[in-house]
Amino acid sequence: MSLTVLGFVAILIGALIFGLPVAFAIAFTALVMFLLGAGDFVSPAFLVQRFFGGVDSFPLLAVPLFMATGMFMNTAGITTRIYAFASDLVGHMRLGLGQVNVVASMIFAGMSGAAVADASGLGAVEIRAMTDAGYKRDYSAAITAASSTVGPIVPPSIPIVIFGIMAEASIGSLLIAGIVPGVLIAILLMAMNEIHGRRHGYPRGNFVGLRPLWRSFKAAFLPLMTPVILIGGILSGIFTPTEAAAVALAYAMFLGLVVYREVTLREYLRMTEHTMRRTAELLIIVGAAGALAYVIIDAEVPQAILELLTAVSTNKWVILAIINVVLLVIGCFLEPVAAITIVVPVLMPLIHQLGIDPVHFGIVVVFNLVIGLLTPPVGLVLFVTSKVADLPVGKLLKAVWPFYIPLVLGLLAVTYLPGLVTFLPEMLLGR
Amino acid sequence: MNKVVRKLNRALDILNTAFFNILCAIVLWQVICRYVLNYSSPWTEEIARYLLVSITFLGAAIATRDRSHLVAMDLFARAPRMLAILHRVAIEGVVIVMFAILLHASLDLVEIGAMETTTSMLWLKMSYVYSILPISFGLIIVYSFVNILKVVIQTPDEKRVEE
Repeated sequence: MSLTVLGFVAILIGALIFGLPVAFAIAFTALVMFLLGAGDFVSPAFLVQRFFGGVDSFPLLAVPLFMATGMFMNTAGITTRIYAFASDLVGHMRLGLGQVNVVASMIFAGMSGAAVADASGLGAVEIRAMTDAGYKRDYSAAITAASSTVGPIVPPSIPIVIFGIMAEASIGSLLIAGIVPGVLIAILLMAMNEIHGRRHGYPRGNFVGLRPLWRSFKAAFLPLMTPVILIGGILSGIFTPTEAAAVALAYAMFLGLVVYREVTLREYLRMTEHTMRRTAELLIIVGAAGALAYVIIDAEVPQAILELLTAVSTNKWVILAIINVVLLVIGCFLEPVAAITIVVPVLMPLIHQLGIDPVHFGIVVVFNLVIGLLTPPVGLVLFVTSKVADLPVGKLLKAVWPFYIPLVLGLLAVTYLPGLVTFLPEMLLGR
Repeated sequence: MNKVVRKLNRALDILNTAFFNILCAIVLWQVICRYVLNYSSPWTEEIARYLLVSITFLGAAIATRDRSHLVAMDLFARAPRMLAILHRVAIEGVVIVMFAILLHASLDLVEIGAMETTTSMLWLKMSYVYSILPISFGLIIVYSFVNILKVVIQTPDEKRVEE
């Protein structure tokens, strides 16, 4: 491996272990590599311009819009309506509330772009309902954590938008491509519930009947329109993803402020301030990565990685397997967006060379990194769920690890059956 | 003095939250213009992008103040107190040096920006847009100093409480 690549990896990992915030560790790496002579520009002013340019992007606007939409949909009135609808739909199945948990998370994933939001708001409703009904607290928390991983895969999705920007791939196609893999995870998790339910002798319940189901559907109808607006907006080809996100946010605000009147002005300001903070914490990473990407491309790091990996094998399936393993490890330590901003610029030349569809690759990357949200030492969903469920992380982890099996099965399917990912955007958007 | 600082800090939060609200309004306005009123205003997209940049960089300063940046690992969280303080000081020190270099570079960028205007608003020089960088970088440096002072000064107090 060339000295530059080793230097780059060592500086970055060193800065992260040292404890610099992720964004600053990335900027630090870019600055040090620049000072060591990477980047053919004369003045560091241009490095700063890249930092600026990393955030100066219209598609990136979808990130705060998705985030705010998720926040407005995560209010009690809406989450309980979704939960009630899911409950009437699948509550009669074996381990009913476990199945309700998966279905409700799946629906909510269509409104929110981050797994953590799912685990905290709706997650609290789900865990409370399950423990009240006598389900074990650790299993309830584990299925909540596992099902919230659907959030960033199904549109809207913040990591997918960031991938699209870093890889210069179609964000609309990527978002639509996440739908089938998201449904696949939901099915695998429901199968997991069924097995667990049989083994522990959970009974089946009675279906509530079509009339009550219709009633709860009507009650949840307005919130259920949010994903329709979003996905429909993107598919219609009229709206760009950013514009669809803006319309969905306006709709979510309308529901919260006018229809359900749950959001007071004070609450509204608190939500927008919260979104502003989370947006900045995420996008400052993206900006720093813009500077880093420029430096490492100039230092020919992606070229060196390409040569290194193609020396091991030129079979794209073998290389995808290697990338999967590396990403799973990275995902244990880095939040998905941070990992994407660092890894994608490095890997894209290789992906193009091997003829891998960027849309396919994007879903593989995001799927991979989302599993990392459930693993120590930096599993955000793990920590949030442990807090919401009032369960020590260690205990939760013991209940969560069996769920790695369906998730890894899903990852393998998404990696090695690219048609699963690409057929829907190809059919609907006709790329 | 403390009161003034607290008010300034709060003003920064409110300013950036206002930016966020304006951003949402502008993007929505753009959609309405394009699809309902059937005319496209060239400035909305550019203003929206610059607002996003301001939110991000000012927000990074806020996150430095509140120490809410995403961190990959905190190996020193359970270290003995003296070591944890030294570690904190070292981190903030690196941040200060790094952003001092970036601040200097960003002032050059502001100077370069005096020669170019934005694409859709010819009255707006890029200098003004770029100036969010030195402002934010300066704030990050100040807040990092404050973070050092906080951990160093806080120690004797905490000791007293323990005794």
